Amino acid sequence: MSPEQVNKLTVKDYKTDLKPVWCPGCGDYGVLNALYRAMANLQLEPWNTVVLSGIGCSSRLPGYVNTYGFNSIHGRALALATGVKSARPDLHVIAVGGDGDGMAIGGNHFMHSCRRNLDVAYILMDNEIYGLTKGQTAPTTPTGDKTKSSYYGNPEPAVDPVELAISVGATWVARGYSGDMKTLTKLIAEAIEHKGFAFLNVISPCVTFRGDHQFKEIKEKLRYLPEDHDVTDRTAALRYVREKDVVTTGVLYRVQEPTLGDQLEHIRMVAQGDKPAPTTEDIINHFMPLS
Amino acid sequence: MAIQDLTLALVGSGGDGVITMGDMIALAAAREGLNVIKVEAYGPQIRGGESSTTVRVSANDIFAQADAVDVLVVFNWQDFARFKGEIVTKPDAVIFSEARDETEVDLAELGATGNPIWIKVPFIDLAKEAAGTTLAKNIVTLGLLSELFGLPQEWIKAAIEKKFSKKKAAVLEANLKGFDAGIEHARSIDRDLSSRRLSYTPGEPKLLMSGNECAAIGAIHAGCKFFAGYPITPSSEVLHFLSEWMPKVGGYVVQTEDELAAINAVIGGSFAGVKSMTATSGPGLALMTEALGLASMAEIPAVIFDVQRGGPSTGLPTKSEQSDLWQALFGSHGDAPRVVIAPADVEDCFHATVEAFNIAEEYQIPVIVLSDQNIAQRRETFSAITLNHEVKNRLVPTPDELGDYKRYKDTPSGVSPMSWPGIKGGVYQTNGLEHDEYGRPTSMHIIHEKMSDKRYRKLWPIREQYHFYRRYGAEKADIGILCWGSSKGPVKEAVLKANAAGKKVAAFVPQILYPFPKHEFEAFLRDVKEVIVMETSFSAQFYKYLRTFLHLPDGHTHIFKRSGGKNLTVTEVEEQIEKVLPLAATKREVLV
Repeated sequence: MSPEQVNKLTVKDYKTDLKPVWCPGCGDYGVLNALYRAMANLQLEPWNTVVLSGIGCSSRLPGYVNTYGFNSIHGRALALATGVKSARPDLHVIAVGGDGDGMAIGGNHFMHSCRRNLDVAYILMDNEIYGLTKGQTAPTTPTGDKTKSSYYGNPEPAVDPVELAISVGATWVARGYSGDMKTLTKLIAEAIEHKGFAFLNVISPCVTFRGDHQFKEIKEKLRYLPEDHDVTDRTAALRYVREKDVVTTGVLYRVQEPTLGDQLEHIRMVAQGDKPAPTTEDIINHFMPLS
Repeated sequence: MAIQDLTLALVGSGGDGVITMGDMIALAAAREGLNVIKVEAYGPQIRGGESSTTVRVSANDIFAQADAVDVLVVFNWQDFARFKGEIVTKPDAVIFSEARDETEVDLAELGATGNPIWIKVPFIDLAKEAAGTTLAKNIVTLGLLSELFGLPQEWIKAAIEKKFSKKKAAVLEANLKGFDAGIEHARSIDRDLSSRRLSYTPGEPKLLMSGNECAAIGAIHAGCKFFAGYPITPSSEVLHFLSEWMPKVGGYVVQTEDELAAINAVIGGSFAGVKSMTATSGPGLALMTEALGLASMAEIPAVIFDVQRGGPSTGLPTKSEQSDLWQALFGSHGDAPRVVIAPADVEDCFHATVEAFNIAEEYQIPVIVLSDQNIAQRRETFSAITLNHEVKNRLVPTPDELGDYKRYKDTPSGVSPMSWPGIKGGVYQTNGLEHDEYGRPTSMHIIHEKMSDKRYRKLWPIREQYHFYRRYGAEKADIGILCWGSSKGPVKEAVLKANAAGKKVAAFVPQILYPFPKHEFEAFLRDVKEVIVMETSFSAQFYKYLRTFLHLPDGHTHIFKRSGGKNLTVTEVEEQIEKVLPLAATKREVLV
């Protein structure tokens, strides 16, 4: 859509009349607002855009965005996205969800979506906890933290989703913070625009089950990537994973590789080319013996 | 005297080429216009190990594989031992075995209790001499069998030529020499087998296809443009076939990381407005069950092609059983309406798949096609598929319905117009949560009740619209057999034979299993005196399912059930008929 068009889409156009179920102070409000702004900045046509999720607090998000939306079942946002984008390469597809949804129950789909370079933007709202089920340990919960399901403290090490994404083939990987609207809006817009699997891990604090101090602590730890960071250097990107004392935001890794859609279209071209599709009768004739 | 119906079983190790041999006989017979049913069986090994192929060739209509074989070829008796009880010979069978294998065999144990003819043949030596390689022993065997039993020799030769056309000329030449050596050896056999020769009039060539291939073509015919699947025996051929053909019709195939991804990708593709399907087997269907509930709740068309195998767990991956029935019908958390269709033969797999898409699209509901290994992997002939199978599409919102669009509008039929991405004014957000007419989440009981009713209401018109069942045999019968799926083959064959012998027997085979075709079942039951329910499920899933919807007459209902791993045989059906027939004399006047 060109800028001179009168009916320019504004943030309001991307809102539904549904009120979020999130707790006051939830980091996910920041992500939702940044998403509205990013969509408006890109002038995404709501009817050609799909926002998908699995289950979790953050997975309620598609209900609040006035595009085609699907709040599906636990862990399957990317599996659904695989179907939507493969069947309809013309659509903008955005998958969202939490760390439990994406790293635990949906971990396998995450790995394979990265590997395939599925052309979708995946926004993970990482609050290091299961919020919807009221406070159990997630794969991202730091070791030793006490939660409802780890009375004596979390006995397991945490995963860094960013490290995982870079390792298994995502072609655009970034870390953002829900309290930094300006940067987050830019990152979301870039994720949507990236051709290939764009993974944005958003630190999105859960004030209810991780405490009010989260925002203050993260703000103190917050850093930006240095200007001279080489986004095409995988090793350089991996220097900013498993951080303890700082939270570095920005685009850590970005390369261009053929997407799953490119490959499927290539196969279709090889198989069909510009020929008309064979009829059922044509196909069946291949089963006439020794003809 | 000659025969019209001949069954050959070929047994060897992987590498002996028995599968190729079976293929060539089947192709040649189909080309000659004969009827063919061909099955294969393997041990659990990936490569090598025992393998067998059984080909039934007939001048008459046939509906099942034969219970016992006329001709048995054994390259290695050790391999044969692994098929004990599964490959049975007729009492007077002709048995060929490798001359070098000196294993002592009690032919009576194979079923050859009459006057069998056992001929030892130096297959290995013949192949070496004629073709210069033991690899050609299957081709030698083809020569021998075609000469002795009147199989279409010219077409077998054509099949050999086709098979080796891409190899060096010397390879083809060697194999043709092997073929001739087999023919020559047959002429030297000093036994009169003329009464065992197949007698037929050549006809128009017939199609030779498997159920999985038919299903894949059915999907394409129905307009499916997206397939997502995860390999699993015995359904993988659907994935294989579509990976070749789907791109040719402009569609896409994704092999997903697991069955969870497959079904959810299908739901995604369909949500995006593209007809989508997956194929799997029992263990995969179990993994898909959660998403089946999603498709039911969010009212998204989805076709799931399930090829049953022996279970539970890994079970008998390469063999057939009818024991996914309850899983398909009832496997669910919550009240999740779905439609279940069961093809009963190879060609049916085409029609069942087209209908599955039609129902799924028209009623926005998941449809499970419940095939089984027997019809999925066997190859059989038929003249031509009825290609004018109607194709239906989903209901799209009218311009008036767009704008303030109610995705789940509560209509009299329960079907709401469905928009999809790209349709301006049709934007909606859906979910697996209970929702109102706009798709907005709710947990109010009153809405849950109303929307459950809407989703279940869709089943009624499906029941009225789709009369997808078969009835065979006598109009008023002493015995009525109820069965489903691949059990139809042996049941139909036994019923027609019984009718020809003047016995009043009939059979009813529902292809649509849910919504339950109650009226059709009841009409059938009114016309029969005794009822036999037959199935290959140890826990009698079909019988118990029938009991939930039907009053099966007390004291007049007989159950034949056993586990799978071996397909139902015509003999088993005939034994049940003989057992129950005398009881029909003490008839009730009205059954239902």
